Amino acid sequence: MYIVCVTSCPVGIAHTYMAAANLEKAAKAKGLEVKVETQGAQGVENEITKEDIKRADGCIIASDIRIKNSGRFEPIPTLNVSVSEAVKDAKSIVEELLEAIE
Amino acid sequence: MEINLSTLIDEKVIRFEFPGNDKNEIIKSIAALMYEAGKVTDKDKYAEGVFERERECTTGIGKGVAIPHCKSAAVKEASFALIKLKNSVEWNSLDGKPVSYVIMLAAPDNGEDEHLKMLSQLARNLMDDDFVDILTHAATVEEIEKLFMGGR
Repeated sequence: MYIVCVTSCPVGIAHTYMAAANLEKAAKAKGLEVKVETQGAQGVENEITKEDIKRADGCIIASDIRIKNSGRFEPIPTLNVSVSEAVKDAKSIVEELLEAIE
Repeated sequence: MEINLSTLIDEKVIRFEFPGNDKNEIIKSIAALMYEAGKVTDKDKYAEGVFERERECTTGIGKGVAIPHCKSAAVKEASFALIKLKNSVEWNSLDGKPVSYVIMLAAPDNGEDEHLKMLSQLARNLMDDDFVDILTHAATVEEIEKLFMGGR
């Protein structure tokens, strides 16, 4: 199974990257393939492409602000959470997405 | 991609028995410390940016650690202060626990990506329980340098 994520926060130097690290860790712990795009002070990194979305089973958006180009995730099941939730407990978020997909 | 975080370590902004009775006082004192070390050009403006960020959402990330931060024109260079508190204080943390270690990040408004990357790498490392454990228990600058050079 392949999931894609986007993380973003207002300042873009800390929470974006903590959330990204946690989601990666939580997804890998479940044996999932994962790619996390960060939208922080350094701009968009590790961008989720059309090809990624084509083969992705689900998406997690962890953000407190409007993310760039959110429309691209319309074709796949998407779970929206706050960035703090992903810093606090990424495992539950990944589990919630998996339940929604199944 | 491994980034050597230890190049941003500056012992002028590392403390092990930092006094302070509450979050606001501690943020102001660390801002003053960063001003004295030449990291920020205006300590009040920088502290105000940090408080503004705190109002949006807590920076108490759990396990006794807080990472107050902001991006501000009052910041001269990307930097971080590593502050072990003498007494733990309430921080409205994600896990509800008081904070005993504060990592205060400063990013300039038009920061170079290289330095911003180091701050974001540090943020990522804080999700690693072992990294946090070693950092919060370190008693010397050398121990912190060794941890940061590990490229974790």
